[in-house]
Amino acid sequence: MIWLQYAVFGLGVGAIFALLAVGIVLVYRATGMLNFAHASIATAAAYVNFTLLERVQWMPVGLALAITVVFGALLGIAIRKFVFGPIAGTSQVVKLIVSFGLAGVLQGAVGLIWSRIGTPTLPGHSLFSMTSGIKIGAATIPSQRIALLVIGAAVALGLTLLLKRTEFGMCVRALAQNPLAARLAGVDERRVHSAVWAIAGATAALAGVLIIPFGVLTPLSLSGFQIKSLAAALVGGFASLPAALAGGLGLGVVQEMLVGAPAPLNGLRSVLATGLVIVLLFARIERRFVSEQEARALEGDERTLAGKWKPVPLGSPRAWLAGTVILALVFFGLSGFWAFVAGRTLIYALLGLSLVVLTGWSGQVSLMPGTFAGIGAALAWILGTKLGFPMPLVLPLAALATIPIAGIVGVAALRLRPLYLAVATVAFAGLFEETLFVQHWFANSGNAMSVPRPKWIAGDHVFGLVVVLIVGATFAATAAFGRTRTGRALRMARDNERAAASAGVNPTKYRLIGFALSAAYAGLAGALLAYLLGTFSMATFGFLVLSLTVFGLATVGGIRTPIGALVGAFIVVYLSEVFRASASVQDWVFTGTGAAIIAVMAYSPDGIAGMLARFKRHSRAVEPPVVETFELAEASGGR
Amino acid sequence: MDADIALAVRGARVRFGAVVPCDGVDVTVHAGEIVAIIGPNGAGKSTLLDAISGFAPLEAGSVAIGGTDVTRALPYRRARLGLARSFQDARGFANMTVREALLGSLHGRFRGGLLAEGIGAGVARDDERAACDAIEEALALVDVRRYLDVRIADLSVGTARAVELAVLSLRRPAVLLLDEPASGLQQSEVEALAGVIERIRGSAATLIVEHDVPFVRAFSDRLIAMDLGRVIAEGSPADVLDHPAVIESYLGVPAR
Ligand SMILES: Nc1ncnc2c1ncn2[C@@H]1O[C@H](COP(=O)(O)OP(=O)(O)OP(=O)(O)O)[C@@H](O)[C@H]1O
Ligand SMILES: [Mg+2]
Repeated sequence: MIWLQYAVFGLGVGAIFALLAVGIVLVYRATGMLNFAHASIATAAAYVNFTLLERVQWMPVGLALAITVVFGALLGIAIRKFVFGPIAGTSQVVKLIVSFGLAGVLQGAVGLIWSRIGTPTLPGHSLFSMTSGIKIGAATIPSQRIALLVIGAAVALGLTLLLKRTEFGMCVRALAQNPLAARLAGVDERRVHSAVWAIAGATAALAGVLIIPFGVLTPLSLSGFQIKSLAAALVGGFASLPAALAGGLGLGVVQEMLVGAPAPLNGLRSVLATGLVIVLLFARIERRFVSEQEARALEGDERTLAGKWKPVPLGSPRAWLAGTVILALVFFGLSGFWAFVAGRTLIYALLGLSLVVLTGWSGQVSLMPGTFAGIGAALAWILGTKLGFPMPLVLPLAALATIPIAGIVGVAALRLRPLYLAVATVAFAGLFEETLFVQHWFANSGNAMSVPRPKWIAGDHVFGLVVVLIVGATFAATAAFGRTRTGRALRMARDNERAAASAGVNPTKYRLIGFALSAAYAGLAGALLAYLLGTFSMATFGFLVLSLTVFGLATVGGIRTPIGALVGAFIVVYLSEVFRASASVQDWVFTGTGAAIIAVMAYSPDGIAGMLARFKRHSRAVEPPVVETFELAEASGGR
Repeated sequence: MDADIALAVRGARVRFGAVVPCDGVDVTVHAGEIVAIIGPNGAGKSTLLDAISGFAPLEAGSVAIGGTDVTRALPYRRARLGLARSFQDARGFANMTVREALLGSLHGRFRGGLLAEGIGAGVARDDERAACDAIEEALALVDVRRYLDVRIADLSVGTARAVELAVLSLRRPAVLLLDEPASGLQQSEVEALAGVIERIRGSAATLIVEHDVPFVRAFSDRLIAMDLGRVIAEGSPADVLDHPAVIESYLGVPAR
């Protein structure tokens, strides 16, 4: 009987996962954007609901719920207009990056408005009873759980019918399968998108309100729901609503049943969702739900940004070497504190550079830069401190050790298609955080780890100088690499997978190279950061926080050229040093980088570097008619 | 078997669910020959090119390039065997400059290991310089010199097609597949394009999919007419264009 009780409990929670998952699926099917900020919408709604109930004494619980759901719908519409609108029709990669930006804005804003301290929610805030309900044997299933199940299932099934049976649903499906044909057939894309976002926002808000009576509300208390609802959505290949419902319910049941399971088994609970995502990716689940043609339509097209993306210079290796020497000289003039800050800036620039290679050149998105940096830092502690290896040996080892891990993630990510790589990295990042990063032998159980610098370079000045040389050399080598045959093949596979393959480039191989290389950079940066800080804990490398920051700085600076990483790192590190005293600096960084990511992707996708490049070539020669091209060739001796 | 058969497709069948866009297609192209495929929209012409280049898996049949069977080979492998193709959408490498695209097409011609390139040696072995002569060679065929530093997405359709031809010819393909190279071009450009295709003739076996019949008629040695996934006529341009089944497939009424 106790099992039955757990199972019914699980159905309640699972309904919440399903409620979130259907929103994710709906938005993805209709707009091609896999929303990594979906749970953040639920968080914002939960706070709105809580505030309504707390501030307005007479407010009935049901009315607050209704207002919150309307708020969710309006938020969805606003997101469609201001966040998604400018990038509609672009590539999957741009949409993924923008959804990270959206998550940053929502999380940061919630933190700024409602403080980061947890608020215990009251049983009176629940629409349904938390204690009384249906009796099954000796146990009582609270009405709240039953209500959750009924509401979740009803919404998911209702939306399924909406998609299958109505004209609106037909428009959504037409847009997913062939956007161009749908537009020609008179489907008003913008209205359909607005409606879809409104539904997604409203259901997310509903989920947020229904879940809060279960515990303490903090800005991050729903963050675990993001990966769980992604897992549920992936059960249906991000395409099927009934499968997403089943996935959510199944996940909830298994999760709750594990609570009552004996010791080694119940530990699986924390890795259930991430593990499920990884298994589903290995099993290539999406093939059962999405045709190749539709998958390609959903991958989108970068050409739509034409006119906004200008060729940005890759930078010359010699200029980078010269810059390194100059920076090294300037360094002697800095005070100890600023030498430390400059060192940190350069290490962040190196993290940004890993995204230039990965996202800028190879066209992939990963939420693992923070994880790889964390692995690098942990290796610095294990190899450097515990085993006593010298730093010149530790640094390359820390970089190289990330490569096999990148390989495993790469294989899970279905030949590294951008969307699935992004999902795989979220899952693996979560998995490592729950398993590897809590080990005593690997990360000192999450406690502080000390990585003393070698004696001969212990001072902030000297060590900073070492950082300048290492990072400078890496930038120079990367600039050179960008011009080689391999560097070019990365960009060919990014721009047009099929055209690249028919030019003899194996797209999978080069995406894997891009991913592994970027992991190695992040590993090196993590190890350097460990030495720079001297003492650190794994919290420094919280994958979401660090990865988002790095994404922010790389996009703002310009994600397709090395100089962009340096410019972005300078801005972000400098600003966070300046506002270090402010208690909510973390939330400001979140909101700021999130908003900057959204704005940059909409108006200047190459960031500051792109703006500078535009100044340089303000006049472009007018194209002569193409006949001249062919005839000129004839004149110059074709025959 | 003929020694100079550059491309041999035998009984190719491709299936997408209930649709069978290619149903037992045979195509043979000899070295130095230009063969054009004509047919109404949805006849399966692009799918046939996809099957030859490895993007559409064959349910039955075989594909051989220069005598090597490639039925199961991945697209990039077939490219290494000398197969080059253009795409109907002419997207190209949207965010790369013309120069980069030209250099990129030399991917298979230069060796270069990752290690040698990655670890600093890239500075010394900058293959951009080594590739300069090769690029001159392509520019002699199609002069896109003045666009070398323009992003491909910013080119007009005509120029983009010219660039694509330059990129393809640079690879010195043994088999060249072109999917509607004249679509989107103005009449004067189409005439110029015909000249370029004539000039490539000597070096490659060329298979062109095209709707513009007068255009392909000018230089094709043979025509193949397709409809509903099957070859309905094959032979000299005059014979094929007079074939009753071809006229019917285009006009939708039986020819008298
Ligand atoms: N990936 C795919 N999945 C499902 N059906 C497809 C796919 N690719 C092509 N088809 C279908 O196969 C048929 C043949 O398409 P194909 O593009 O080969 O025709 P085509 O002769 O090139 O036509 P056009 O002249 O318009 O380019 C069409 O009905 C098309 O809808
Ligand atoms: Mg076609």
